Amino acid sequence: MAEDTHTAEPNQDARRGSRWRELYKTEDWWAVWIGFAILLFAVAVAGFHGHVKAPSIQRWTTNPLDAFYSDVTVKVKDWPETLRSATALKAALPRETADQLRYKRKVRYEEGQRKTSETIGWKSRRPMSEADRDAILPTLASGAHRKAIEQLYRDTQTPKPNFMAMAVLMVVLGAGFALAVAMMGGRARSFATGYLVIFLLGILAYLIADQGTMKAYGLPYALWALVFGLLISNTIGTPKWLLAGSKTELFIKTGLVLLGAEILFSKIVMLGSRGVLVAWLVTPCVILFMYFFGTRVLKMTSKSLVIIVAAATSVCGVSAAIATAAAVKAKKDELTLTVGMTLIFTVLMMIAMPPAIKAVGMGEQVGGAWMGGTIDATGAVVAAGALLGDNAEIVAAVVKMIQNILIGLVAFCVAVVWVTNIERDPQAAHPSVMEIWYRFPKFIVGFVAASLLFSFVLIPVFGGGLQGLNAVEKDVIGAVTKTCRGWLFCLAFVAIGLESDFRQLAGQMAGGKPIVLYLVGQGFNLILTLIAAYLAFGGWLFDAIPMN
Amino acid sequence: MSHRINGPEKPTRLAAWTRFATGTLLLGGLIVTLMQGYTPPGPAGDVFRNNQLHDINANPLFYTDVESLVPD
Repeated sequence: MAEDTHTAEPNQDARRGSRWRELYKTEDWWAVWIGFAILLFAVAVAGFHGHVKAPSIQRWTTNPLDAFYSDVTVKVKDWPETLRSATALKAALPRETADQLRYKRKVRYEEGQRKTSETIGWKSRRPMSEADRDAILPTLASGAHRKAIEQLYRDTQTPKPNFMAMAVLMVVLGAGFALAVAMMGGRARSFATGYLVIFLLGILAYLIADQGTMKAYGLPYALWALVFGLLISNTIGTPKWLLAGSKTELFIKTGLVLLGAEILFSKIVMLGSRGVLVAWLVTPCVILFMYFFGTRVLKMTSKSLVIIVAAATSVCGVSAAIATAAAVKAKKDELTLTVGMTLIFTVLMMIAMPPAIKAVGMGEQVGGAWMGGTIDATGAVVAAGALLGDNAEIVAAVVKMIQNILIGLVAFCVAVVWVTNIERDPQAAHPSVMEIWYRFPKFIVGFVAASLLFSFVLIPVFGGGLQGLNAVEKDVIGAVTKTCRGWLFCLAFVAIGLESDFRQLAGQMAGGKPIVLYLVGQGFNLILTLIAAYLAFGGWLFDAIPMN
Repeated sequence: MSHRINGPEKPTRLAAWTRFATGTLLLGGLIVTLMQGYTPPGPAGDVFRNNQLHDINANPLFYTDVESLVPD
């Protein structure tokens, strides 16, 4: 962002002379190299049918140690209605057994078909005892379900701790970044100490976000990571040794290259065109409206803050804010402010929209599409949709997924506009293509390349169609890259917090203009998305989708 | 405090650590309170209660983080 090495303006000869050096001297390129090294590793493991899974913090309820052990899950079909919730399980089983057992029902929409899958799971830190098994079995009438519990009993006898895998991940990522720091002229040893503490704070942020009850509130790791960093920087101040490990740009940009691989264009084909109408028609209109409203009406001086708030509001909240902020080299305080605002309003909208939709008697599909197009974070969209019903949940999730896919296009276009117009000296001649390339944030190239490569090369290599898409999503993205991306964003948010100052944040508020921008933009988004939702799902243009 | 950045302008070391301890206690208190599973009464708490009942994770930022949107 603001402190990028490539933002400096050396004279043209010197810059052209050092063009090749940029490949190993700038954070942008290092983000591409490290990001693609992780992608290549994930693809190779999946290609050779290896079983590597990047370690993540698991859901836990009362004992935080559970978070470091992977759940054991078994697929079931038509699990008894009486056990389909934590409450029902608790009622039917002894408390200790019920706390360990999980039932999960997934409702998906693929190629015009509604698909349901069910799994039961067990927290594996404590193996299922014979007493646990014998408490569950009498509640089940079906032989298939009894077999599933027997299998779960067997599978849980060997707990799967994540401690060592997490340490390996921390060291491997740290080694990659230390190499980058050393090659860019920094001190790898200084970096390592700070990085270690930042990673531990990241683990703490994930630990809190992944507690069973906390997951229901929609307060993600990004919030806690930011808060921990802010607590340190605004009380005792961030020590220099800790700051040395705080390579925010490198963490964010590497995470974004990995995020690029998760943007699969084949997903749109699978999900259908109605979601495209809602998500893609409205999003550019809202971005443009908010940009002009922020710069012309509110006369906000920081164009980068305006575009970050606009992207977060219209695309997908925090992820879009990160991508856009990196593309326009925004200040860290601007990103902190936008993320904070987005997280608060996401929770408020998740609470308010379902009762409002119920109160006015809006159809499930229209309501789902409306929420999918307006609530910022995907988790909150799914939660709000689930309250209205399965159909609302599916439509909301589909619209949001399609909107998520826009993140790459938005980041790319914003980067181009910034390089060619906003950052350009108005008196200077229009820059040449090569000049644009020199100034273009290179990690965006990695971001877009990863998306195109995964969408149009890797999916066909893995079998094409739905089979290829599922294989890539499960074996490459699900197993390795999305977890690594999550860790990198988490580290980045700790680092941003450590570098943010409340006084500068207050300065960014500029008489509450960013909040006014968010509220007006979100209001516009709500109106436009509602119209689009009725057009696509409410019978104005197309009939509702038969989903029973 | 010359070796630090971003901190308060020139607080004493004790004042800075007191602020840190107070902040940590307040934050810890908030986290522990939230973990108890309190939900607002009426429609304002409906989503939270439904999430708790059906073990729905409202935290994911991107669609690939949502368990139900990616293949098993």
